[in-house]
Amino acid sequence: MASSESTTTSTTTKVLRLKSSDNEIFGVEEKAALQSETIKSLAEDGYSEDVIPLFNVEKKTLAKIVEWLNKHASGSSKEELKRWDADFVDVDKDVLYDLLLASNYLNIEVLLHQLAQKVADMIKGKKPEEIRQLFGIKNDFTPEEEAEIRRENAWAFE
Amino acid sequence: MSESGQDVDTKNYKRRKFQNGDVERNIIKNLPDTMLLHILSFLPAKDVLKTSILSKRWRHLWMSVSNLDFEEWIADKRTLFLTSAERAMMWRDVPKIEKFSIACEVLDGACRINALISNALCFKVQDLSLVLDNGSETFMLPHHLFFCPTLTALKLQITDNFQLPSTTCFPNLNELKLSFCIFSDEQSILQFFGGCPKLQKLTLNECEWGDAKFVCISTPMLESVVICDVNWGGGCQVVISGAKVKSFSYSGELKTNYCLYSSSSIIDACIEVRSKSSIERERREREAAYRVHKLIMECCNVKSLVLSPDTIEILAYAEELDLPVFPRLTHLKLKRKCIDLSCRALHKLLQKLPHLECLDFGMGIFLSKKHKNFIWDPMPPCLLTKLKTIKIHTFSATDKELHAVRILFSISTVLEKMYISGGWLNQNEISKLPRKSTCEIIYT
Repeated sequence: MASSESTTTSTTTKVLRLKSSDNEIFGVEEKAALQSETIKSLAEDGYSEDVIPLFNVEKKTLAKIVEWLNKHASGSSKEELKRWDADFVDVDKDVLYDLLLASNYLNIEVLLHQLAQKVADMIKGKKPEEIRQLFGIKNDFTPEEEAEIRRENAWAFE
Repeated sequence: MSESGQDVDTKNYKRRKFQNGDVERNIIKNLPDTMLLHILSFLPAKDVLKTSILSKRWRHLWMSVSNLDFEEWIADKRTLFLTSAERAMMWRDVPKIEKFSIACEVLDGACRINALISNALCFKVQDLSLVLDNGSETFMLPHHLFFCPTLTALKLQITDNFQLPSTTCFPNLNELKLSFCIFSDEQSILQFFGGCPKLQKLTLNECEWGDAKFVCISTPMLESVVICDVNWGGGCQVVISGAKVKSFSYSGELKTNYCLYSSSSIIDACIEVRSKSSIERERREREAAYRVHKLIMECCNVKSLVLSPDTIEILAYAEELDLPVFPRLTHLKLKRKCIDLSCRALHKLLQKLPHLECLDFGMGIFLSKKHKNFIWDPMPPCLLTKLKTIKIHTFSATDKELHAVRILFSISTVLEKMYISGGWLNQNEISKLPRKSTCEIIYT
């Protein structure tokens, strides 16, 4: 059940079944799925013949993650992958947030790195007020406290 | 992971109610601290320090960031800059720094900068980058920097007049980039590289070999060597040896004589002769031709080769030198400037590449209209049997460029893909050109 015959090659490709938190099941080739350290250890724990439950990832996020896993196991050229990745992380910040949490939970280091870099690029060079607005951060300092922080790190705020 | 774990997560990160009743969106501010720190690790120190004012949650987060990257080149801001850097080191919340970079003018700040570097070393820094402009004063780095056991990557770019010490020991250094540094003599160079047993990647940019006449760079793990010596050349001989060297890149004017004693392991090579005109002005054409020939001979087992048109044109100054056949080479890229398709040196080179599959004109190709029915005689075998891909960059559809494409189409019998990239593309005009093979044209 957990494996299927590939039509294009004569070798048997094992497919792992991943279940999202909202009970959707995704089939992913083992080679692609094992890029996630979490899936790897779950598979090693004997889940591989059955469905691997991923309690922290909703289906819409898991679909996107599966897309990334497949692409990064497809043997695409470095150049193509770079373009594809840039496109992949070019999403709304809500989606970015879900992907960050999911890739952290699934422990996919390369993806986590790409996503963190993307958020860093959004922050880079922006004024504090712009960053607060971008991420909905509420300023809970008193004006005195704020003035003190500005004084402490005058170089960063000029 | 248990079901209850999911509940906690849901409660923590999503659907938290705002006072006004709106459901809060999944926003980045609710990510756990470890992930925020990961994000901060990609930012320069200035942006990292700025986050301390966002909200109380962010107030002290910067103290735990793993990478500190300080850069300031404006003289008026120097004092504040150094104070900020010192403060960041003093208030660190974690006992380690993974990466520490400082880039600024030294001026009267030598002691403070050295104290910062020493501090970073105390935090067991692994990746250290120092880009310092010292004017013409003598500047010394802390002695113990050169004996640091935790460093895995080191970049030193110190102008001017920075002399490397003669004894060093970097037991764990993988990656070393030196720019504008001066080695003192043969013995100290030998000792310097002898102190880097794990070195894998070496970049030497405009470094000077001092009084040395013979330099040997040999470390057992060395995989990649990049040398750029455009402005310097003391006429010494530099031998690079290492059984594991996979990648070699040279750019410069060939004033120094390089030898590779690891030719069979090299897979990728780049030989970029710069400024043919200055070589010609200095009447060093034949010397340069012999040196580039030697380098190319030593790289004849590569799979991928990058050359500048000047490199192959310089070769023509020593007609008596024959090029070797490249038995494994499948990719050739020409970079730095647009090349003339009728250039004899290009013809001569292609004859020696029987397995060439991909030819990349990194800065484009042209052919004068006077070569109306241009043909290579004899035709390089790769064009008849192997060459499947041609890439032409910075294409601007001038008559000369279109003519070169027309000729390439008419002589490449097995061409499958032609990639064309550039600003303005008259796709129609190119698509109309007759082709010898069923070749797809891809505009990028």
